[in-house]
Amino acid sequence: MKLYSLVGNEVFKIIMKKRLWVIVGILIILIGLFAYGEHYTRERTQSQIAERLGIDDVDDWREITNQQLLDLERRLDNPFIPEEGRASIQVRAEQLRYYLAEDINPTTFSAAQFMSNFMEQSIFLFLPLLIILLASDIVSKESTTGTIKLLMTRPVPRWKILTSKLLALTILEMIVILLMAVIALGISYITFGHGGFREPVITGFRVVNGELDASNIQTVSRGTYIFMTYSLGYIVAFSIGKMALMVSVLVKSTAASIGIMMSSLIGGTFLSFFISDWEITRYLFNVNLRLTDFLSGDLQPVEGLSLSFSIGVLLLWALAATLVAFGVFSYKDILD
Amino acid sequence: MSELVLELRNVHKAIKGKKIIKGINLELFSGEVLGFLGPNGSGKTTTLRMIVGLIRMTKGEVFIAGHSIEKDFVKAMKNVGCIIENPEMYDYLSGWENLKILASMEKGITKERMKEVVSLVGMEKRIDDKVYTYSLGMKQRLGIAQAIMKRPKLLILDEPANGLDPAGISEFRKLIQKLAHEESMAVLVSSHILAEIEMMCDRVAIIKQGEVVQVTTVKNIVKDQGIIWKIKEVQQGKKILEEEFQTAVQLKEDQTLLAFIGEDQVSMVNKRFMEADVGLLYVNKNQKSLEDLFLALTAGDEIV
Repeated sequence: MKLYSLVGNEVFKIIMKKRLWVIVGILIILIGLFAYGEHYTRERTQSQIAERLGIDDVDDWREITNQQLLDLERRLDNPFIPEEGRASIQVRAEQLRYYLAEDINPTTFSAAQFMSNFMEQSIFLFLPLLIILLASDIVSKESTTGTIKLLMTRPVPRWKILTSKLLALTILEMIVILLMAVIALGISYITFGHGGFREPVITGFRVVNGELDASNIQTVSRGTYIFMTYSLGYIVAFSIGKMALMVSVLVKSTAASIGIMMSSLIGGTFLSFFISDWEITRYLFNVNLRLTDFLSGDLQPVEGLSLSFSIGVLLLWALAATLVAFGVFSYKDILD
Repeated sequence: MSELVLELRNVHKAIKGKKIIKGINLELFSGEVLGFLGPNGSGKTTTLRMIVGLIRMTKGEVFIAGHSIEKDFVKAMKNVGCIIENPEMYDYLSGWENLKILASMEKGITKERMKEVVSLVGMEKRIDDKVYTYSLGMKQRLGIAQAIMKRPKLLILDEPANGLDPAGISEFRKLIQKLAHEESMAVLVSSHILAEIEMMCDRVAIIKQGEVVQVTTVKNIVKDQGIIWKIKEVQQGKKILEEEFQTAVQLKEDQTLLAFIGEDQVSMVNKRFMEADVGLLYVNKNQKSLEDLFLALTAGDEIV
């Protein structure tokens, strides 16, 4: 049997289940709120700074940026800020200095900036939740409704059936990422009214032993930066999807499947807060989800992670989950 | 020439150390309808699931058209169409979309063939509606359509009459017999409705606590089923039957006489009863024969 026609069937089933439309709805509502919030905060900070400087005119971005830089430097003088926090403030200060030196206006908020911000904010929780919503019923729904018996009594080996589901899921993860990009672009363009895809972004800061390492910094265009963040988003979607697939094979009910995935996603994040000193936490998938922070130079929940390490851990989890899923799916008895 | 389509050799199944199926042997030939009977929990459905590879056997082998279900799953399943338990379908898709998905997983099912089976099960009008709008009987029809559309050598139907109305059951029975006798499919039907099995099947296998306790042809049962007389003068009638027709007579609880005699003799007995004026009310064939056999064989059986 041709694998692509099986994959086609699975994609067709997922689309007809209308889950994807639920995801589109959630995205539109959430991105709308996020864009409004972002817009509102921007205006407030600007007017606050302007007020403090005693000027009415907030058009001069240099003044505002200078003030933000001063604020950051003042915070660095605070002896109570931990070493790790210090480094991330340094990154932000460094970025502002760069903008001043290169004559780039960082205060105008562009659609492009919103798009990358949105992915940075979604990658560790919102995006995984969407993928869980999409993937958790891919096998369990067939078990609950009994249609698994229809599939498994065709002259098609079981591994091929699961492979078709896995490939369909991989395609739909891509579609979710694309939907996020398209909806974020549409809404932010309406809200902020200016693209800004060519503006430069500096990336490549690293925090090594609590110290800022600026030796690898690079300037890329905002468009490239967005491409990078959404690609990293896809890696997260890919590995979370495979884990959800495994849970979907292991438990019969979709509700249980979604519950298990959500609680391990959120529970693991809590765990990493409390026992971040423990070596083993760095191998949890939860602490390695913030891939985009390696680009922006933000603080990682566990020290000493690197982009390649985190991607490696995520892919290993995906691989292990896939192996378990295939093992169980190929041998399990369909009893009810 | 009928060919061996399904063979179960010493099939065992234990789940968590508990023996559910204890060595079933069964043969099914093309053109034959075999009824699979058993009380709840006797292992009927487990056996059917092992035949189609949904459950693995702990011991024994199943061959479909000569291919082992465990070693050669794909080749074996090419010959099988089935409904296991309920006719589950994707209820968010239309009946036609369901058939299309399932047909794409087989080789050589044309659109014409799909249309043909849809009209065969009488679903033309509703086939484009979503399955969640279907009644149980319509789902059952769709289930039968998907099972027969590839013209399988072996058709396995678990409780197929569930949800069908009397007219539907009669249509279905005709369809099954047509498939078996004209397209020489081998059909394995499990059912609780004994009369149904009796009318539809050529042979029956009765299963009890994971073992086949009897395999017999329906003809055999029907031949032995006996004649019932309802008369007023019971003792006199019994005497006439015993003395003049030399046959064993049972006086049943409901004051009827049961005797096993050939149909050619029945009119002679009736004539004698009229002459002797025993008050003949009615005479009938014993309809409950399979039920009697079933109850006798599975008597005292508790669900295990």
